[in-house]
Amino acid sequence: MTPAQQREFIHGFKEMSHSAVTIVTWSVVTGIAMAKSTLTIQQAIAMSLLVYAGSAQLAALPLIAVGAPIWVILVTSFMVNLRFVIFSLGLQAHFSYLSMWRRIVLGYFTTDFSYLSHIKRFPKPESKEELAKDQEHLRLYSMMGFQAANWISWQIGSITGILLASQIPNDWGLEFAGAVALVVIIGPMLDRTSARWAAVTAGAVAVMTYGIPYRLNIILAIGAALFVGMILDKSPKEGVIS
Amino acid sequence: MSNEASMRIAYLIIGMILVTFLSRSFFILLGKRIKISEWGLETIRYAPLAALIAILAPEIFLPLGASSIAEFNLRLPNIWGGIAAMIAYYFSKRMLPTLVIGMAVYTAARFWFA
Repeated sequence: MTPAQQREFIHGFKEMSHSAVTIVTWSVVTGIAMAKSTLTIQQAIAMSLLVYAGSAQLAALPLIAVGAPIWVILVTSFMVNLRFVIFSLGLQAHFSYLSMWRRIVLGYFTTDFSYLSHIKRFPKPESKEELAKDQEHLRLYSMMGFQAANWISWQIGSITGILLASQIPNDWGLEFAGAVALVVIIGPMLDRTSARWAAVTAGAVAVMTYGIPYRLNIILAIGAALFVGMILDKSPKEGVIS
Repeated sequence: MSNEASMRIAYLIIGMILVTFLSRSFFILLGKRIKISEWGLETIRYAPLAALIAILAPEIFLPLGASSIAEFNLRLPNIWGGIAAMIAYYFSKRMLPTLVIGMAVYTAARFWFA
């Protein structure tokens, strides 16, 4: 790294560190939920280090516990991760000068926190002239600083949660922490009437059709909620995907 | 855990790693080959919410390992813990109070209905 690149990396790292408390709280709870699921400690740690997608992990745990087919779990994870698909559109615009594989690695490490921090600091992609002047790709190093601090604080919290919870007896009921965390993830998404009705639909369908095989009730619930959301959204431009 | 079960988890983890790559690099991988219309983007807007609710609702309203809605009953501690967490979130909008209250009511209900 050149001195300027180093400066940008440290800047990003420090700025993300301000969110460390929030990140660690989330990751400790996710770690606890993983340790108290049907996963072994090793599996939980592998999932934390490699999958690195908290909401998708929390959503997968109850499905793993009831033995849902792998493809249903993967489709569900992808649905939960759809917000990243939208982020990747922005990422592509900001870093189109990088080689394909570097962009893919960059994408892999881009969480909600790092994407939103980057967009807050640099709302627009660099123009051709700006890019020509920015030979050192300083924005990339700022982003890598965000990502590094985000990854480290997430893993510290997550692995701490896994190891701590594995010392606590199962009959304490700590596995319920995962369900509570889902309540807190869902809360901010219910910001519009149409979203609330979509949520009620999804919940009702998922519970009513719980008995059907392969946990296909989740796929049905998503379909029904999309249908309801689409019908109710009279002014589709008002919101963003969350 | 049996060998077969742990292989299943290994495949699942590999699959979920690929899902992380696929979702976070979606437009990087597909680039200009795919154009998703405004309509498409609007339609998928509620998919993450729906997926999370579809996981959570049975977690709260049905017993573990239930096979149908017929097993709903008000003696389930999940229901009370879940409702308490929702109320706590509604008023606090924060993780910690929601977690503490949700877990406390869940634990109390477990002993109450035990």
